Order: sequence, then C-alpha cells, then structure tokens
Amino acid sequence: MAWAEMNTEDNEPMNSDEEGDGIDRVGDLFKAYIAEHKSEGAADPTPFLAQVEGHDRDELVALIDAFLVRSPGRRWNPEAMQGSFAERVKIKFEEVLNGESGNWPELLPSLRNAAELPRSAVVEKLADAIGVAGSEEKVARYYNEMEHGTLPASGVSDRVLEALAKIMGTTFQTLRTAGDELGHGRKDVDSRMFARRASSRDSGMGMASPGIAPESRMKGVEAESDEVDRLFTGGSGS
Amino acid sequence: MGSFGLHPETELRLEDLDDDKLVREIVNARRSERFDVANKALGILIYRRADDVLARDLSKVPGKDAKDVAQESMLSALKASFDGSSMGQFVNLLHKITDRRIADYFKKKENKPDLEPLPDEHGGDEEVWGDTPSESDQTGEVAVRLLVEGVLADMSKTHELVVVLYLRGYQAAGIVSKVNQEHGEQLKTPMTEHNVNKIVSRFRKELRKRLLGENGVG
Repeated sequence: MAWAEMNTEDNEPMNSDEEGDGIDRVGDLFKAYIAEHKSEGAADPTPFLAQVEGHDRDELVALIDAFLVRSPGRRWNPEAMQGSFAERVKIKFEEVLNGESGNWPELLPSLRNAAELPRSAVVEKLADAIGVAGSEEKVARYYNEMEHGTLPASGVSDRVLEALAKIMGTTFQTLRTAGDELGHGRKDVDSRMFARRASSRDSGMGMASPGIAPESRMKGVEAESDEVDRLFTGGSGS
Repeated sequence: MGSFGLHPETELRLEDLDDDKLVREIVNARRSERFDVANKALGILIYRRADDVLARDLSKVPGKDAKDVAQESMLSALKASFDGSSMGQFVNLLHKITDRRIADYFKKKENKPDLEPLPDEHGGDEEVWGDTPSESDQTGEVAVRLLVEGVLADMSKTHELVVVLYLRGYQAAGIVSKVNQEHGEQLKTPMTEHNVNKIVSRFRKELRKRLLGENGVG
C-alpha cells in the first residue's frame, strides 16, 4: 500500500476499553531485554522469559524474536571474540572451508548429535562394521580427523562411509557428496594417498585443528600402514 | 597494526561493510589469496550475528541443545552463501535457516524420547547461556517469526512502521518523532504517543491471538 493510501482513521484516539489495567509485565520485560541487549551487544533471553509463564511467555518469546531478527548485530570486538560462541562457529566453519573433508566437519557432528551417539560409540560400531575391531584407537583418530576436516575425503573408502551411514542413519551418497563440498583441499588429494603431507595447507586462514597433529599421525602411518590406514586413506575402492 | 595484522584502515573499512558486502569481500579475498583480509571479514561477520542466533534458539530450544542448533544454523547459512547455492541477503537467509533448524529440532524430539545428556557431547561447554525452558513450553514448535511477519503484513504501512520501530527498541517518543519527520506530510493528523501506544497494543493483541491459535490452547 502506498503512503497516500494509508488508513488515517487509525490515528484516532484510543478507545478506553483498549487501555488495559496499566500492568504490562510482558511489555516491561521486553523493554528490559532490549536495554540489556543494547548495553551489552547481546543478551540471553532466558532470565527474562523465566519471569513469565504461559501465554505471557509465548508473547515475550515472539517479541524478543522479532527484535533479534531486526538486530544490527554486534559491533566487532576482537577481545570479546576470544573464547566466544562466535569463535567456536568460526573455527568449525574454517574446518569446512579450508579442510580436506568437505562438509563433514558440519555434517558428522550434526548426524551424531541427532542419533544421540557419543563419539566413542560411533567409533566402536564403526570399527566393528568395517572389520577392524580391536583397532578402535586408530579408528578414533581417523574419525576425529573427519569431524575436524583434516582427513582427505577422497581417501576414505566406500566401506567406511557405508558403515558410517548406517550408524548415523543417513545414506552413503549423502556422506560421499558432503565430502566433496566446499573445501579446496581435494584438488591434489590423490597424490597424497598413503603419503599424507606432514603439515597442513598454509591457507593463512585456518586455526590449528583440535584433532591429532598431522605430524604425529604421519609417523604412525609411515611406521605401520595397515588395514585401517588403507580404509581411511586408500581411496573409495579400498 | 590491527587485530589480524591488517592495516587499521582496512579493519575499519571491513567493520563498516554490511553482511552481504562482507560475504563478497571474503570470497574475493580468498580468490586473490588475501587470506588475512578474508579471515578478518569472516570473523566480523560471524561475531556480528552468532549471539543473536544463539539468543533466538535459547528462547525456544533447551539450553543444552541450543548452542548446537545455533551452530548448525550459522554453518548452513555461511555455507549456502559461500558455495553460491543461495543468493540474496545473508541475514534473511540466516534467520530462515534458524527457523528451519528449530523446527527440525522439535520434529526430531517428537520421534524420540529425550535421552540423558551424553557426557562427551557437552562436556566443558560452559558458554551456553541460560536454563532449560520448561517442559510445557511449546513456542519452539511455532515459527514465531512468521507469525509476527503475518500480523505486520495485515497492518497499514503507517502502523507497520510504528510496530517495526517498536520492535527495534524505539521508545514511543522516538517513534512519534521519526514517523512525523519522515512521513508526517502523508498523515492527516500527526502521530502522537497515544496513537503509538494504541497501535502497539493492537499489534500485541493480534499477535497473542495468533499465538494462541497456533499453539492450540487458550
């Protein structure tokens, strides 16, 4: 509707029956939430929501939500970034963007959480499913690298992905495709099968992976290449 | 030098970019191997939006899970923006994805019993704000953002503007001033604080009515 077409009768004085009883707990809490958000740059809504129940709470949720989607966001503060939720997101996204494992750093933890499986349970089931029971420690290292984007996706065998898909409640193709997404590390991965590089790509963007350091992993691979190494680094047909 | 080793002027320039320009800056900087610029721009973008997404989740999703849901939302929106699968405003995409992730969370919960937290799922995760919403909370199942937008869409443009300013945190006096300054000539009578209060009151009543309808209670 154009401005000229506006319904101006709504500017008439308010009817007395719309005044209410003067107590507006939801409105007051909404204002208090906004004040804290503007003061701190962000605010946890739960202490405010805890002060009302039922329909009042539903309304306050909606108002706060409407405020948050219109928020200009936080002004950059490098000190506050350290150790923040935002930093955790950034590290995880860098694993996807710069890593060797495509979208696995996002997808695998998400599937694992949805399946309500701790990492140790996934590893145990995976080792059993691919026939390397007893090598859980090594499987755990490789699986950890998949979640942190440091394992080249094209090196991981179909057998591993088929087993993982069953454990996680997804499909083999979903996992394989996800491994191909985004990360630029795949372009020269074939040359690194069984000869994984000792240092991570010098992208200048990535932070150190919380996974096993490539150097220490390499020593193990070189010293004792076995069935587990082949399944996780030997390529799709391994 | 700035916090990422950039020239301070470069940092200031990046801080002033809107979300979509930041996304373009990151893509272009990566292509030209200016990873210091890309890193800084990515940090600014994520820092700008992450806590508001987390706050949206915390009002609907239990605290122990809200952070995971928020992280998934952020990563999905970033990925879609970077791989070119979604064009347009980053922040709109982010909030749409957040709505979807919250809905997905409750769908999964409907199909599964709520199990005990897994020790290594959230261990050491001290940053999650807030407490778990009450068991009776149902608002997470409703895309409340869409309900609000629906009420706004049914209002006249003047009233919509008044309510949007209210939702942005303007006080009544500020709303009056802004509406009369920017659009006063198009109003038959000037906006007053009384009018503002009335319009906001009507908006909230209608919103509440629709919330009750959506939640099947009341």
